[in-house]
Amino acid sequence: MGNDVLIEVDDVSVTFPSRQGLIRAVRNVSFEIKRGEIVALVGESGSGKSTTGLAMMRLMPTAGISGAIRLVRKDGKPADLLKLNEAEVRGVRGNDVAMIFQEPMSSLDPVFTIGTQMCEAARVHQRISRREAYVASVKALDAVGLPDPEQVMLAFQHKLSGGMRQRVMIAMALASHPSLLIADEPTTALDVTIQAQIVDHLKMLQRQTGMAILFITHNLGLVAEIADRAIVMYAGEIVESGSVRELFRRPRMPYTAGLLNSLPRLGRKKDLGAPIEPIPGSLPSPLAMPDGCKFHPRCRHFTPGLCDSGPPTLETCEDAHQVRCARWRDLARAAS
Amino acid sequence: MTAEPPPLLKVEGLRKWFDITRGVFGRKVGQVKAVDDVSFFVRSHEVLGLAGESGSGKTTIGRSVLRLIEPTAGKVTFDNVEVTSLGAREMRQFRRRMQIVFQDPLAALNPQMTIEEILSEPLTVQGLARNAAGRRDRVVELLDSVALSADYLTRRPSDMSGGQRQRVVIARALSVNPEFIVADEPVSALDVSIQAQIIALLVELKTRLGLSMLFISHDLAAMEYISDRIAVLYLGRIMEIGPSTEVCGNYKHPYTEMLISAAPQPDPDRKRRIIPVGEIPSAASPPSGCVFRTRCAYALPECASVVPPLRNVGADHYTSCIRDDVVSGKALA
Repeated sequence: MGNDVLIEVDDVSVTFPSRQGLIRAVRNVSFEIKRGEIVALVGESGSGKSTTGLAMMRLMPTAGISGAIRLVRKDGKPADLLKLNEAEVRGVRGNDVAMIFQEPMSSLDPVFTIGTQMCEAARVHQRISRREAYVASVKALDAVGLPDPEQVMLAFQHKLSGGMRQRVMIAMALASHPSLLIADEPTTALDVTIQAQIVDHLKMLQRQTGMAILFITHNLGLVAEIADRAIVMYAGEIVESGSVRELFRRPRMPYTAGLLNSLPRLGRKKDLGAPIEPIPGSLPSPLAMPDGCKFHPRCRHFTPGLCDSGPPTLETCEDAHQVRCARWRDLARAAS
Repeated sequence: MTAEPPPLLKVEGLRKWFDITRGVFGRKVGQVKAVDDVSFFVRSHEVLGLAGESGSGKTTIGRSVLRLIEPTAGKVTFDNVEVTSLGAREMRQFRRRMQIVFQDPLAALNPQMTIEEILSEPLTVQGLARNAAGRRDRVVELLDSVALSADYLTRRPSDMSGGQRQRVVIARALSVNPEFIVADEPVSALDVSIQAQIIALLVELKTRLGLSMLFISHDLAAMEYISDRIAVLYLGRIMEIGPSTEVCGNYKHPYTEMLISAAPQPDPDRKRRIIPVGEIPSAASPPSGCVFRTRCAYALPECASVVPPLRNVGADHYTSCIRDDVVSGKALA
């Protein structure tokens, strides 16, 4: 592990039992996140992006997880999260790694005030008095840009708007200064103006605290806005990764390129001229995965015998840019 | 102005106020002004986009136009017929000409029915097929028009993907040969790679069948792509309305500027010009004067006194903002 690597996900696979058979939700996923880095994990439903995030928090009790997730803890010692017992994992959650979710409504308890829940969370993870917990909580709410934090402490969740609830969740997640925040579609349920506020605030908090963020999303616009690096997943596998600029300028995997070409661009209708090009077909069912490249039935560069036989490996095409496509070399030549 | 044919759909002074009640006797304690004095029209073969965030009233307008909810006040005219004064039976007849596509295709389809049954039902109800064979032919034709094969006849919604289900919902809306469709967030529940398919399908159907459409969405980029004109709504009122390239590229209202600035764009080099402030106020107590003024960076004292009317700022282009010295139309640059 390099010096500045905070967490290394190494060959992680996640399987679920189902009535129709074993579902392999995540297959042999490997990536690392450096300290202070914002990495986007991008994908559509069934891509395995959320499952990967949950596995990193060990929040998948019924799933079978293999591989290793090596985290450098706050005391500087490395730990494999998949080898820790339940008590040790609780120590990691909230201290080293925190997580926020799409729906803040279901993450907050409706019968307690925000203040009660924040103070409780603070006192579970830190040895502090009630008074200290209260002061710290008000400060945390203030830091996420909530106006009138002392009023918010007294409120029940249903009195708050969706944007305010998500800010409360961020405040709770950051209360113990985690070195990694996993944010799973945190703004998907919110209006765009509120989404922009929250994303801006997350970026500001990241700069202030130096924490790393794994931002899980389906929205390529948000990826461009928030992340330094992006990892694209499709049908449980990483299909491409690299710096955001590189990925958006020179996508090497036809799936990534297809997603970018299918997005209408705002304010560019006149000079764009070209219609959007949708990716045909639908996402594969986890129980009937295609052979070879999982994307080949939808790919316009599909070559029989090549793409549907052996599974393609993840190859490095440029410095730190990886792609899983048997044809990336000749497609890159054709594009340049 | 040159003489223009009368618009297909005309909405004048539309209001929908919901009562807020309290207690077991439903004592009325206030009103939510979901839609307040909204007027617009849709030309024949035209797509009008209704843009806005939650609480802007865009869905309420779509449903009021079809009288799926009854407006509190205002007049809706469709092809010179006043829809708002039709009786229940006449309205049922009239619905053949105006159809709706909802956001969630799973909730819009009966899980017990096969696709053939789902698509046959409106044909039977509206008396559009003479016999079983004619009905079957029409259903296959409808499936074909949304790029689904006849294999789907015997399937049920649960055996299909979200995109395929939305195609069925669209085919059902088309089954009665409507002239006008309200598409209420038709792609929001779908995966990114599927959204573009449905948008392309709607564009194709619009061109091929000469449909007129009210396209309701919070996604401005998709809306610009599909719409001829866009109306931007905030707290139940129209802030700006005009040709979609103008509204998205040369907008004149501070709220449009905020919306466009906030919309995430797949371009890593773009810098956001304006950081939105505040949240949408409650429609039960909207601000006086211009409803947007509490979040507006350019508000003046006079913005609080009078509700600003829409004023002309270009061909077919109107804004409700009283200032014309602040918004440059360049949030994307």
